[in-house]
Amino acid sequence: MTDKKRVIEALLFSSAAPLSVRRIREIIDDKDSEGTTNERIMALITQLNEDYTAYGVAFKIIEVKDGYMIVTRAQYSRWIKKLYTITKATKLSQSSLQTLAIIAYKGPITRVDIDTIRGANSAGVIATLLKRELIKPTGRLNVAGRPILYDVSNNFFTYFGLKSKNELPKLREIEEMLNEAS
Amino acid sequence: MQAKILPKANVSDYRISIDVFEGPLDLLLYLVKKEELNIYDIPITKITTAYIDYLQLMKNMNIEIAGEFILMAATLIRIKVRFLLPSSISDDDRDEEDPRGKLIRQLLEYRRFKQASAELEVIAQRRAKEFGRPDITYEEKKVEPLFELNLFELIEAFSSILAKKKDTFLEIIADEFNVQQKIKELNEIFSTHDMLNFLDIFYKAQTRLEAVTYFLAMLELVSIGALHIYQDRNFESIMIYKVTHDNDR
Repeated sequence: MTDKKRVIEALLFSSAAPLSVRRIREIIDDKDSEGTTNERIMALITQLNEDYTAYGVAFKIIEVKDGYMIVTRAQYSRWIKKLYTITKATKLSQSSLQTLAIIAYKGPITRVDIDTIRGANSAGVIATLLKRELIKPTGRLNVAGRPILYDVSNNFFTYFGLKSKNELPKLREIEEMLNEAS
Repeated sequence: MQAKILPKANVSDYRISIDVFEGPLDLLLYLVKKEELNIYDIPITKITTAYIDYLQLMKNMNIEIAGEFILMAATLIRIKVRFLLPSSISDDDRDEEDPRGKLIRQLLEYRRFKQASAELEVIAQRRAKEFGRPDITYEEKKVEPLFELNLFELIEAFSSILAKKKDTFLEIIADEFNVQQKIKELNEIFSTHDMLNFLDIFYKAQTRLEAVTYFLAMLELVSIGALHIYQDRNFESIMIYKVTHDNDR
């Protein structure tokens, strides 16, 4: 019998996009083999990560909203950057980050409400964020003009390496930190 | 922090537009910090003077000042005036106990998200050091190759439907159909179908007006990402797919 742990490892290794537990289950469960539970798959992924730490390999498995993916460890970034000659242009601007933070914490939210919080026009920033697929329109608000509502996309979670909005730093803690500082 | 120098052809001097401040709230927050003011109890005279001095400085340096900065100056002056005048005269918002209330709340909200965005930046920087596999080697198995339609092809297909649906007699129809109602109908149809032929949607339409309303409703659903329109290849039938988010486990 093939080792399911190794099959999962091979799948994660070969995939550029994150793989969900459901997708992994669909792939590894052949007609003749018995069903694998989600819990089993997650346990095997945890085991793989423990192996990687124990052997000191250069990569690890992280979990984002869309599922799991293999990434290289942070300490090797300076060499990988040389390999791909990563440009500065991929970094987000201050206004992009600000708008993204508002959408992440307050979304779904309209452009007008974002403008009010930022005290500045956000049309250009929103267009950039849409193009980079960090946000997505999720519907329209049922008021006059039916403005578009925006929220962060699954790609946002992959970009920041987060499982869900719950992993964002809490606004209350940010507020407390600010008050202590001043 | 950066400043752009934009030469104007017909003027002898140079105009500079400055990107340092994201907006007037950003400038106010900077001044509160610089003057070491209490954000919960901002001395309005002091902040107004500091703010206007700053705008004046920008003006002297030939920095273009956006309208929203001027608007904020006006807001500050109005609040200041309300403090100076006896309360009986300013009767327009008498129920607000502190004229600064709204501005302070806005500033606190802004400060919260400015800090949150700094936290996000730290998270992004950490994540940017971890590299996944680049998308080069194998195409993931897709159901079938599909071409995404552009709007012009779609309108062309739609006008051929309209041509078939000739209204036999003219009549005045009083707002019989609305897009909202058709969106609801389409949502109902797609709750039981994953995909439909483009033409099928219009079978139900009795008149051209109704067909147009269906079309608008469909575009609306496409624009919010609820539906996707595809064509296998040119001149084949156009299919409408329901967008499902089945990635979650």
